[in-house]
Amino acid sequence: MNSLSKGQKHLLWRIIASAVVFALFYIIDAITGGLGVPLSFAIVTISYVTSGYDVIYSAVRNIIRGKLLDEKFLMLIATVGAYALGDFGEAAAVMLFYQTGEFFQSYAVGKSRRSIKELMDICPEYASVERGGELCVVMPDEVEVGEIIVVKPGEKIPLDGIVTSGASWLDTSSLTGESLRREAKEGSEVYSGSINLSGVIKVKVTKDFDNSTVSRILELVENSAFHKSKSEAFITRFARVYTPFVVICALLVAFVPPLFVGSFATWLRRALIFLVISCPCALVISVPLSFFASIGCASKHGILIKGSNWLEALGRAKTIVFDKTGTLTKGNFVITRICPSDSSDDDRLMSAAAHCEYYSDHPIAEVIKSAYPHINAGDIEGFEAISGCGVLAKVAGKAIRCGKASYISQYCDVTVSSNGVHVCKDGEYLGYIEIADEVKGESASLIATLHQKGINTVMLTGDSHQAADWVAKELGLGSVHAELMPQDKTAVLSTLIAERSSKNAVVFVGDGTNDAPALSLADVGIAMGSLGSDAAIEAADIVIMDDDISKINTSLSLCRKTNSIVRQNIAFSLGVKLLVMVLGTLGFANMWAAVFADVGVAFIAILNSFRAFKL
Amino acid sequence: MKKIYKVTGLDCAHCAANFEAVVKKTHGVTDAKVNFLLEKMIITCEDENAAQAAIEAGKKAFPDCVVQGV
Repeated sequence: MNSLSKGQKHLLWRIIASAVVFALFYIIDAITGGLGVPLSFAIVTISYVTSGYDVIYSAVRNIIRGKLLDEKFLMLIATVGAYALGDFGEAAAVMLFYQTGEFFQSYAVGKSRRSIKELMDICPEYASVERGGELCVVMPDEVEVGEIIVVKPGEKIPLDGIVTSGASWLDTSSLTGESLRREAKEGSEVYSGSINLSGVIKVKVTKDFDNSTVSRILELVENSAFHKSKSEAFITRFARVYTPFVVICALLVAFVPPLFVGSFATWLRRALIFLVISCPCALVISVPLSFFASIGCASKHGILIKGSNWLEALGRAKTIVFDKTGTLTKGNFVITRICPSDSSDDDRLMSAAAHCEYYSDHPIAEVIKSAYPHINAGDIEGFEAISGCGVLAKVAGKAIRCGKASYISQYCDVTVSSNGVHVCKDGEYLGYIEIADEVKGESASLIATLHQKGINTVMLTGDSHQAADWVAKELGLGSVHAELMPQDKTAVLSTLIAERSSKNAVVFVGDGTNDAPALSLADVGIAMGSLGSDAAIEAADIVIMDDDISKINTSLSLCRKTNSIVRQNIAFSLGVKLLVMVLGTLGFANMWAAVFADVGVAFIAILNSFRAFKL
Repeated sequence: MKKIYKVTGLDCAHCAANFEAVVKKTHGVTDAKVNFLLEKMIITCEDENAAQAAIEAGKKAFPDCVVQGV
């Protein structure tokens, strides 16, 4: 009861009072064996007015303003029509039932508004800022860039910034949906909306409130409701013609058949049924609500969907195109295999390679150096990098070369022409080290799940065929395009988009760093690992805040579920309304059925939409 | 210019769509969006007067609704 608004409570009491009077009327009527017309009329009218006086009031006001086709006006006509035909009981019952439906509908809308508010409850209410040696508590939007804010344990970080002193653990779950705790120490970047868990930290503000992460997320989620999906656009257009259509049907039913078969009263009664179901509310509320609920639910899991149009499109995905580095793989290189030649061993190979690469700053050199800690830098006498081939260094008087097979084979016998770093020491071939980008743990299971769902997977990469094939085999990817220049990626994507049927969608998943063209070209562009990356948030249609690739599947399931809820609601609402109209015309449905088809259906459709609030 | 308002007292999403249509038709208003669930309206208009006129038009068509600046 506490969750009801004042207006709702008021309406509830009126409904109860009206129902009591109505029930008493029937009981007394049955006991006395008929109360007679004047008395029945009086009692029923008390019940009717108690439940429906506000409907009558606004309907009359609307008539004066010349606005005739609104729901209340039509309810008034329907009930007054029933009165005119002498069906007092039916008139009162319809009004009572209608108001009960309105009550439930308003309750459902209220509940969804509260759920939405809860989702949006990540906004920090205040900021403690250091000004003139004192700590002032101000609104977050009053803090300027460069100021120092203090965040105590248990508080929300109000603005994005960099920690200048203190250390703590942060809960970023409201941003990423991940309950993983992040460490914050001097120099770490922190994002508004995170909750400070353990220590006091001082943060130098780097972005004002409007540009801070939390504001951007809220703005995105709120504005998403304005990017309408096709279903929503359809419903809006449909609603515009639905009411006039039903009213014209009602007029036809009332006046045409009596010309041929007579009995005007019967046909008028049937026509009134049409008026009761002429409001398209069930659809107009439930469809956007489903999308919005789903977008809200996604944002709770660290998935930002910029509009219901993208949500709908993702649900229709048939092909998902992945960028390799940073998306399916972690983007950091690891040694996958050490292959010494017959004359050498692991240690000799690694030692030679690490010494040789010591002065190189190539990412691959870093991996080799960190894998071999016993480097004696004093032994290294000369170093030279041969661009595109490898490196040459003189270590303890011996020339060591590291590089591609084609480069090394000029100096010694390369026995295996494999992809990797080959090492040659004074004419002796020591073997090679295989280095690859580490595959994300969840990538393989994601690809398998996608295939199960009937979705094609494609990987695009600028890497060599060998490296790409290895990743593709590891993950079980559908197809691979390797050695692509950035412009080739968009070309591959365009072909895929041209080949798909208009019912399906091609999705591109990238890390948002340099794939903005692909993100915007695809039917749906998804950027991964975007917490703190404005560019990615800008370019993508759907933004996954952390690195968790399995969220692609989460998003997909959610979108498919939402699409099916929307389809169910459209089919159910239209189906019931159509059925009641047909049965009503044939004389098999009464006004009660019509009221159910109006408000009852709206209520059920809204309840169905609620399912989209949860994964 | 863009103005954001809180709109309460609309009965249903259909009314909200009609409210939006009325506001959109006002002279000087280039675009208007009303979200029934968020009870929020965004008006893109030429100046303050256009926004005020739009709100008046909306209130006239829907006397029960309340429009507040945010």
